[in-house]
Amino acid sequence: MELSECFEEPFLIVNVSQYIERVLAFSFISNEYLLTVHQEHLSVYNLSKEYPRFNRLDPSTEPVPVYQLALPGICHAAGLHRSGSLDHIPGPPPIPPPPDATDALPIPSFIPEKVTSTSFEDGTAAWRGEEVPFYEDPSRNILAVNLIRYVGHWPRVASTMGMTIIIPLQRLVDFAEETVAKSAVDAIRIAAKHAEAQPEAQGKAAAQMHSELSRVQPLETPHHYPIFELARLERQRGVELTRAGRSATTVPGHGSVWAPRKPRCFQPARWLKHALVFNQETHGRPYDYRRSIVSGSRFVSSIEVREGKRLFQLIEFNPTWVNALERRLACPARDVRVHKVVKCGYPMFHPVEQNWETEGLIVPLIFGEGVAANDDSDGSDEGPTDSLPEIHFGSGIEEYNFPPLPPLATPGSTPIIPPPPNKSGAGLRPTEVDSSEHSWYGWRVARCGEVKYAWKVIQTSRDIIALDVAIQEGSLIYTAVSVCACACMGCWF
Amino acid sequence: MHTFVCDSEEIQYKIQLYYHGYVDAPRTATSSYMDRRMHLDKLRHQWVITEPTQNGRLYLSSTFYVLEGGLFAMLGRSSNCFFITRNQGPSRGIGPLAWKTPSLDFKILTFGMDPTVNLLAVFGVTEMWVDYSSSMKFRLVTRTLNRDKKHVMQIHLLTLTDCTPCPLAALPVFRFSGFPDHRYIQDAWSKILISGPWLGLTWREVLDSNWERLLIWNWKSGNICLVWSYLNVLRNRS
Repeated sequence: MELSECFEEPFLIVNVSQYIERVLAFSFISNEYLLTVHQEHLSVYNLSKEYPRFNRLDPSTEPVPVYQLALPGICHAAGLHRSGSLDHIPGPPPIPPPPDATDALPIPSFIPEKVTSTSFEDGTAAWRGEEVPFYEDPSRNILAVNLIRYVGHWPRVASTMGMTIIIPLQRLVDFAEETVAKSAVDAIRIAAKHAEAQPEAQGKAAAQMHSELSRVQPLETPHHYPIFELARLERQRGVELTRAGRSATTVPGHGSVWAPRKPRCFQPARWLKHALVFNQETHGRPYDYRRSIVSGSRFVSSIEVREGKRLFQLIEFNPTWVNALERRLACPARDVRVHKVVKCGYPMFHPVEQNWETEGLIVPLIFGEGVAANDDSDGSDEGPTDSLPEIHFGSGIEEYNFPPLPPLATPGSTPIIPPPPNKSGAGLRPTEVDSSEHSWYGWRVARCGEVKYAWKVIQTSRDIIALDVAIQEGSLIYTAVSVCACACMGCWF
Repeated sequence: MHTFVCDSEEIQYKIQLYYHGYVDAPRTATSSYMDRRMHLDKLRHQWVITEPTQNGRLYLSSTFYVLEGGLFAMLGRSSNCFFITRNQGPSRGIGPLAWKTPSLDFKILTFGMDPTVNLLAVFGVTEMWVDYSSSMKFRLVTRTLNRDKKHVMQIHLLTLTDCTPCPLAALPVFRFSGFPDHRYIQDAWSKILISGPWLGLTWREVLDSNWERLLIWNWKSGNICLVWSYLNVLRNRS
């Protein structure tokens, strides 16, 4: 196609309505559904629909999702992490090599047991593993949404709060399809009513409509209001109720301002019972919402919190807890299992802010020994953890003297290795992680003799995990990117 | 029936696949259901013992890369081309392979790929003479009056093998109005996701960190499904 032809029907992206919320992150649930994360809600769009072009002067042109889920609070950053691969449906064989391709990649060689500094000096990266003849099925797995929300009122933001929502993908699709079914029922009813008003249209067509109507069962869920009803309600109210659930009023001399937020027209309680939300109070420290990963049915999040002299880190979930959530009702957290506490933890969560009955499942997951974060380190087990007897805690609380906080490391930058820990790592095997070591802004640290390793998960793809790796030997620091495969997460060294 | 189910390697394999949340992947090498089941058991075991099965090296000159479907694609630091490495998969008879694509003549902001359809989607910007005289629309023109040199954003749909236009794409190059300067685009916030026929692109401007844009595009048919943009209220009021 000629270049000029591309511009025959140009598409101009304009600045759209001010009522539209930000899109913080997005991901494809499948080839049929799109999930977007906004400041106040998650939206699911059916990609088979045709959405109108935006008109900034007409808020009604905003695309209407098939389902929405209200988020507790206003979030200002988000990251999506999903399991499985997008190409989970078996497709054609792997792509053929290009005509002039050369087998430039050397035959993989085994990394020595002890990674030497020269291994990464030339800027190489290591991959490990083997491709498997099967894919993870995303429809049965989970999706993690990491969010950051402000605590307090702008500009007096007391701190930021990291929040992770775990969503079984199949449930997400189920609810979206239920909503579609509900709209189909409405459409058929309207059509049937219209047909009854016209005698000539009665007969076979009307019978067919009633037949279809009888096959589609309307939803009888008191807490589930399809977004279609919400949209219709908003249109009736005009611009008074915006998409964000807030009302815009005009103040002389100040233009349009946002009034206090109104409750949304639907309750997400039912939906949220299939999600897991837990909060991580970050006490003002930056929360890297891109850090958690989902691989397979596993969810791993490296969440650090500095609480006085204590640092708390890294949790890993067994996939069975997702299924266990299906069995929850009275106390969902009782069905949550912590598969493995990689790093000893510490309770860092404040009591839940949301009410389970009205806001859904807000689980105060607490790792470590039972000390509430707002407790004054008296070692008591008071706090919200008392109702979570089945969470397995780590080895306890460790004291650690913190130097000044380093800047947030980003992929490609030279990581900052924390100072040596209190304990000696001598005698450790390379595959062991010194429990006395700590993580730092997503960097996990281990040592093997005098060599110290730090790594950070930066990207996952199917069963492959990319890591930023830093190696410190004496005063030298080497960095590289390591690519781990074959679902051997944790086999860093 | 019980004996039939228990004795059937295929059924047992399917059960194990479903139980662990996997689906079959295309294979180039034939293997028995018993072998596949053993492989599945081995994989699950790997999650427990966390021991690597193979090791290798990739040359790394940039941290601007994408991992997808066993392929590791990395943008060269200065050559504006891609270095692609295929991870080996012995169980499928796939050997390691590496190649370099031709250089592209525009500034690359981000890229994504779908190895199953040999697709490389590159989001970039190039400087062009654009005529803005027709109100909201713009078109590419030669250097005449009413001209204005702007940076035009574009998505190139190429093949992974040699960066030629993807034959499956209805529109190999998709362009839309550009920004005054590509430096206003935050590379770190640009992201491309591909799922079947859908391509999602999001990006953000430096000057307005609250301005995210999302474009969902059916790259096979060329139709735009969804466009989401945001303008900060403060910006509007100013």
